[in-house]
Amino acid sequence: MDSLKGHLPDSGVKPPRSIQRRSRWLAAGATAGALALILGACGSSTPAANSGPSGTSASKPTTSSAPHLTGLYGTLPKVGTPTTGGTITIGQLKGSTPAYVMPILPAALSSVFTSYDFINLMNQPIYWAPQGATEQYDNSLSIANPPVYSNGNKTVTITLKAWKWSTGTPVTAANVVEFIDVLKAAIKESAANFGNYTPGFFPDNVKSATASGQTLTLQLTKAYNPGYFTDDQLDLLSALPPQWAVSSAGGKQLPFTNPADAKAIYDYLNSQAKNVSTFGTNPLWKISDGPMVIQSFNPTTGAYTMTPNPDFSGPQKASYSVLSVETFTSTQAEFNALQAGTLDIGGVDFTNLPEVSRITGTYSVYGLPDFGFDGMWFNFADKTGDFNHIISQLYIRQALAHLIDQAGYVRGIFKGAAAQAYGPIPSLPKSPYAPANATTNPYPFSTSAAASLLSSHGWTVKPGGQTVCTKAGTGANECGAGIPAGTPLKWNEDYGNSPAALGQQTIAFASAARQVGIEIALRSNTFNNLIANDNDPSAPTKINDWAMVNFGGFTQSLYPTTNTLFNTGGSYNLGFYASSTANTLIHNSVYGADPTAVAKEASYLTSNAPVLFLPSPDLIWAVSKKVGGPADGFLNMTQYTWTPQDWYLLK
Amino acid sequence: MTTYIVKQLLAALIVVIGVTMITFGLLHVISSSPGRAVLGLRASLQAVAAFNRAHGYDKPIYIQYVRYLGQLVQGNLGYSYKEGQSVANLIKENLARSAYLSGAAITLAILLSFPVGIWQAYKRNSISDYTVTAVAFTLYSMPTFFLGLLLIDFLALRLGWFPVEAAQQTNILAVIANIHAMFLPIITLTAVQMAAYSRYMRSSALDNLAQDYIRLARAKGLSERAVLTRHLFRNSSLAMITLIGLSIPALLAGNLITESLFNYPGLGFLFFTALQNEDYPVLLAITLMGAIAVVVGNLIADIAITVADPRVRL
Repeated sequence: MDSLKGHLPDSGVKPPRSIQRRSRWLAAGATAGALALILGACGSSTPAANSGPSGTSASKPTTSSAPHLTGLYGTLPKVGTPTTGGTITIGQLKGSTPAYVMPILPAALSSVFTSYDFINLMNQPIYWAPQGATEQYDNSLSIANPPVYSNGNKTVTITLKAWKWSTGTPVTAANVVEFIDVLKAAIKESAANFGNYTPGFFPDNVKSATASGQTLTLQLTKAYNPGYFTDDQLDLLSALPPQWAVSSAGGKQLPFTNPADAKAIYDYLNSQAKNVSTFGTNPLWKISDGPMVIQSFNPTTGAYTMTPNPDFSGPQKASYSVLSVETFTSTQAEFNALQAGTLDIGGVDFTNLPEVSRITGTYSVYGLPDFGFDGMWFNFADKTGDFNHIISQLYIRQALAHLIDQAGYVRGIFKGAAAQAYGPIPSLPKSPYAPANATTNPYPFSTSAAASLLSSHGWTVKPGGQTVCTKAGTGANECGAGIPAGTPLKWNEDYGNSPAALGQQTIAFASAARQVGIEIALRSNTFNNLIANDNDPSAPTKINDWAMVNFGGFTQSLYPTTNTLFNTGGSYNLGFYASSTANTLIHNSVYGADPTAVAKEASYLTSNAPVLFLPSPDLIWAVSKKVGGPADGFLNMTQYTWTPQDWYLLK
Repeated sequence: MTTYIVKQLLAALIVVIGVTMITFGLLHVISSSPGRAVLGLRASLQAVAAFNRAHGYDKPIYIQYVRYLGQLVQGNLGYSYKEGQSVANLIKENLARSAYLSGAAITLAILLSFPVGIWQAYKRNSISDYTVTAVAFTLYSMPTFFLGLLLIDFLALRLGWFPVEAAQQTNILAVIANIHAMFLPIITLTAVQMAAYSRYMRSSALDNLAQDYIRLARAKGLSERAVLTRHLFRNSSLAMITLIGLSIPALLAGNLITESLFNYPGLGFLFFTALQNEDYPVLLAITLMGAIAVVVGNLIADIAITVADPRVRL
């Protein structure tokens, strides 16, 4: 299941913290970034790897005991030797503070990734991901063993491990059924009650869920690709403690299998879960199967404290006494706190990268892209100037892809804190599904290659002028179906006005396009406006108003199929991209049995360029050199996931 | 006076209703389907429809507006679906903090700028006047965020005299008591406002210094100190009253930049966040408060002028 990248507000499993953060403070970095872009654009297209702060090569970590990962920006914190007790402080941004405390997170709040971190620390998903920065389940942190498929992939059997709630009672399969039944009741009440709900998919596709001790059996409505169902659907599975099966404070436990009771339970839990003033005091939320238990919550600021769950059943319990999550009104305020040394762990915004050397003496600064892809989207249905016919030609999309200077963008716009990405499954972060062509740019930056493609297909290229079709027709060296002679390469492109990188990339692209006689009129707008209007499925009256748009991109689930994004009729197929080959490959990814189906899908889309793929920006963290832990406990933070039980204060 | 106030209040009511209509209309022009903006691109059509239905956004705009007014009359400002709290509660939590920050800064700016402006006028065209003018122009033209960053960098990070953050307590009394932490944000706001006020005060004092009553006072043999404090100060202050009255909305709206920079959540920041989140109930409530504050500020300024200047009758 994909989720949207862009700045607030959006909806999805793991929206991009980096972009949310950048949207707060864009003025300071905009000019410098644009200047750097110009300089970068003048450079070559040498592939760029992430580099460290102050120009330190990421491939040579400065701290000998700090582990290293290829492609990492900066240096990871030390493993070191833990001490016990103390407080670890971590920053979060006001505006993205938790406002809900139950795993059935409403759609209106599901864009705030910190809500997931907050909830997951007390109510763990059954299957935990990622494993460090690798996009796969971490079996040691998962409450259940890997699922077993039978009955032609229509039955899933899940065996829970011997984990316990903080009350001392075991986490059982019945607790998972409780979650599913209450979730179904929530969705029946309103589709907006669960942010990760897509009609027809989980939990609609679970015909029945039965529990027997530690064994959960799901009967599905149809057969799914096990890879898809495991990585894209079961990641939504949680367990609810039996004490939550009530409809009032201190009420008797209700049989949640009865839909009316499940609804009563949901209504009560929902009323409590959105009451921020009682997050720290309500006994319901003191029951945890995660590594932490909530201690206090400040409803005004959204700051909160947690203490380690002494009964946590996972492989590692926190060795410190208190986790304090502090709120900041801006990325600059958070960076000020890092400079002052009053914060142990904090995010670093791109606008602060030029001055990051101020904190590298006392903090380990590192980053990696989150899992997903960014891109400039085409509107294949826009009839203005025959754009629909123009853009349906693969050679046109290939020519345009040659005008994306990924290396220049990484170096100039992102100051090295980004990774080049050529398809829906980029090479970073690592995914077991990455196709072979994920690591090599099929369309490296080259205006001459772009011009050559156009010239060889019947266009008269006028650098700096107006390229027009001079050989109409459908032959191999002609413009293509529906493109009359004299048609100019001329259209519009919208881009989000925040973060600044969106505009910088779009301007650089339009500038490169001008060099081959393509005239792109640029228009900036708010993110909300773009997703509301540059969106063929939900804004059909605007179909002929936009040709291209750059609002960001989508995060991916562990199973990175582009189902719903690039299949015909997909609900998020923004520009009505249509390819029968893609449709077949996507169908196989979701409903077939081939474990390599999704890699094949990604491989095809990488070369078919349904969007112009862009570099993936890093999510950058600064961790005090007083704090250490295993690499995975810090790497997963770049994927919007916290495992604070892995962190500790160093001796 | 009473008739004037009643008339002004009636006019204010019309203005406030007009503001609500315009704000309401503009918000719906920007996004006719808040559900899409709030839930995001990935949200299903069913979820968007359910959200719009639950919040009444599926109804015609005039019905939504009438319903909104009805709730408003009952004192219900709505519920923020992004903050998870009632709007009234959000405003209650943030109002005092913003009012304190802006109020302290405005008060300090007034206390400092009045004597500075008069002194500059008295010493006009002297080196000291030029120096203060240069400083005032520099501060006035300096963006607040830049001044704040400079103060943080020098006074907090390099010298360590002050913390980088404003007071983090939620109790307003505790915030007020924490002068050490509030010093930098208040001074940042004060400096910019003082620069503006002192220029107005200097200009007003220069005008008054040329008046006959000043010459008469001197001719009567009053000391220069008495001329300045008793006659010049009062008469020069009249022009400032309107300016200060117009500053009252800032007490409520807070100061977004300063709040953001010094990690001090208040109404300004709440409004900014609501704007990003398309959190309609919060946007409408704060806009409404701003409109009321402007009207009240003007009214207070008018009344204050009649008190300060007996020649003025409303």
